[in-house]
Amino acid sequence: MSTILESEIQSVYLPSFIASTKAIFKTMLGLEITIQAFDKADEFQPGHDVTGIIGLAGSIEGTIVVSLEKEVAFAAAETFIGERPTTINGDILDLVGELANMIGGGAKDRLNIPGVILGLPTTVSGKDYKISFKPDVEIETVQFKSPSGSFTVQIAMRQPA
Amino acid sequence: MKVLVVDDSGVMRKVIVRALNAVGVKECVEAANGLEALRIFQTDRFDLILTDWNMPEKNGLELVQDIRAMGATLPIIMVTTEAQKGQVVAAIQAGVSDYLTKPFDNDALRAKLDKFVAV
Repeated sequence: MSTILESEIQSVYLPSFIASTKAIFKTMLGLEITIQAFDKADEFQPGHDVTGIIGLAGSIEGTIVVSLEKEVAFAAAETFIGERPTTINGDILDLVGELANMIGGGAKDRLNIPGVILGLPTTVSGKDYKISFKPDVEIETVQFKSPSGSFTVQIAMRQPA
Repeated sequence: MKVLVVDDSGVMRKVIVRALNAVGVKECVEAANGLEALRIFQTDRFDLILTDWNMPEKNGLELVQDIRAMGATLPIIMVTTEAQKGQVVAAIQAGVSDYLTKPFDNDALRAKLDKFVAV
């Protein structure tokens, strides 16, 4: 199993995920977002209220983790479906899973690498958990700010043997 | 006009149904995957299908292939994040009438619907 070089994940993969995230928030949610910070870690501890996780398989292996403050999720739901929930309900979980799906799909399209398969999203409510990755996986976190609050997009990538 | 909306995301189905309602379509039936959609399709009559690609049970491409194998000629719009050229070609070869890539805005969705919706 070969690890993706740091320069590759930063220069090739990360820009595609950032561009995909910005396009989705602007096109589907009408929200302009900005990057607050970049972070590196060997495990993911969600700082936000609701999280969507989706896998990439095939010619590249990866996991995409999208974690939103609940106010961002509520604002997104209001734009998306015309109703603003007041709690993290099924619609919010579904929406966050779909956001992870679209961010992954958009990045996959931009990367234009043949043979990449997008999995089905999983969602988690709450902050009391960790996602751990194998040692040969490189993790990058991008913290975004939206008019409604903050969220993070994290990518963990490795190349299959 | 009656439309079958197929997506494993309930929120995405709501978005599409709202857009359909906005262009005058009142009869929308929802399915959460290709298998459920196929069962519904076999027992009802539709004028248009909008389907996602990546779904559990039976994906959108398999659904389109099954429906075309039954001889049905109704328009089918694929609404999906799968936008790579090879996948678009595969979808068209399977019998998809049109293709809408997520993310989309309301104008893009309505433009696709206007091509096929006759209320």
